[in-house]
Amino acid sequence: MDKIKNEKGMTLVEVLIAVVITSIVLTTLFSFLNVITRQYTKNNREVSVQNEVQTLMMQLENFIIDAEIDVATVTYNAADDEPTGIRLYILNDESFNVIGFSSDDRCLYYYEYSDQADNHASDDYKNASTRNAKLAAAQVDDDGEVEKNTDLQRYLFAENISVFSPEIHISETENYVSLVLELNNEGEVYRSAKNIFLRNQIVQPTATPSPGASVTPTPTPTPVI
Amino acid sequence: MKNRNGFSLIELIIVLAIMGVLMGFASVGINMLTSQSAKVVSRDVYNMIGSAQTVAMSKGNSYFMLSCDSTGNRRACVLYQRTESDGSTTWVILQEQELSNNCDINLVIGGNSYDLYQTTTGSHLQGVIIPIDRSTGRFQSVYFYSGDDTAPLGSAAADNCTDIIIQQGSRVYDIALVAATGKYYYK
Repeated sequence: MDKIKNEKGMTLVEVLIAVVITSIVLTTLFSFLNVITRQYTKNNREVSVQNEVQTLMMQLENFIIDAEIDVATVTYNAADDEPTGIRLYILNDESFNVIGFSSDDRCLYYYEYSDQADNHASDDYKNASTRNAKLAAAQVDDDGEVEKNTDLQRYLFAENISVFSPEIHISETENYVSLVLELNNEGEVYRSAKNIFLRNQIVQPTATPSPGASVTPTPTPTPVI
Repeated sequence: MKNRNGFSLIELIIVLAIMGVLMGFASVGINMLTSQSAKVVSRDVYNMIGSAQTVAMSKGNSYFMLSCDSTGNRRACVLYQRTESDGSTTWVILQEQELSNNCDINLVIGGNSYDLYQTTTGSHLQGVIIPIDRSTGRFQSVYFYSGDDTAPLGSAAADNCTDIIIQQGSRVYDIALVAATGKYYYK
């Protein structure tokens, strides 16, 4: 009964102290929580970047490894009427795959040659000069959109690519494509490099490739064989 | 008890103002919480497509499935068609993720939009199955879900699924699928 009669309650100072202590404890707790969630999202992004690069590498390897007739690269620079960057041409008996890196939007594109009537095994494609004329005819216009009257249809392959550098080593003694791929997603960087050894012996190249050389695609682009 | 003044107007107004502010915070919080489910669902779907692609490129015969049962429960799965030692095949669900019911899921297949609950014709769309090519990781033309997990492939749509749109109120997450490359991304 005596206890109940003490009706003084808490003083303002006591309440304030209690509030301050509670807030300090809560702030520490939440800052811990914040650190944990940030680390979690960082790890998540790291894993997804690695996963993306590895999947992409497998897809590209699949495109390249079965090359039958020719593998070639063409570099487009700002002066060309094309998205700047390097383009990799893989020519097979029955398909024609083009993988292009655009440094303007850091995206990798897959170009589908949509002229179904065209026979890729035809002599037009096996002969370098007539093939180049066909490649020149199938180009993307300068805003990156594929025009309807060309034969190339463009599809997004990958985003946030910082490095795409295929180097072609095809000679009497070597038969592989060395590919470096780097993805940079908001500072999360993952790089993968691979030598892709071709299953088929590519036709002996007529010209020696000059690494990093820019080739003007018009009027006839000269893909380095 | 002798103090019979009651509350003054100012005190009441202050109390009401505080309550109003608290209610405002609460409604914003509830709104954020509920619209989270579209984000969570889109992330689950996105991650499941990635898993299906990884399985496809390592083991082959892998399918991504979005399905909805008769009670409206939806899930995203990685399906795998396993070849037994006697040559027969069995369907296995390698990964399964229940999806929240608080958002709409629309599928764009060959330019037509399908609600994962109801098709445009009003019939029940039980789900869609996207086969993934083993060597290229490409998305192939889709099958409708038969409703039976032991033989899930229903009729073939003969078209590609180009978008999975997850919507809740004003929040829209559009996962675009590029069939030619096997790329999927948030639009």
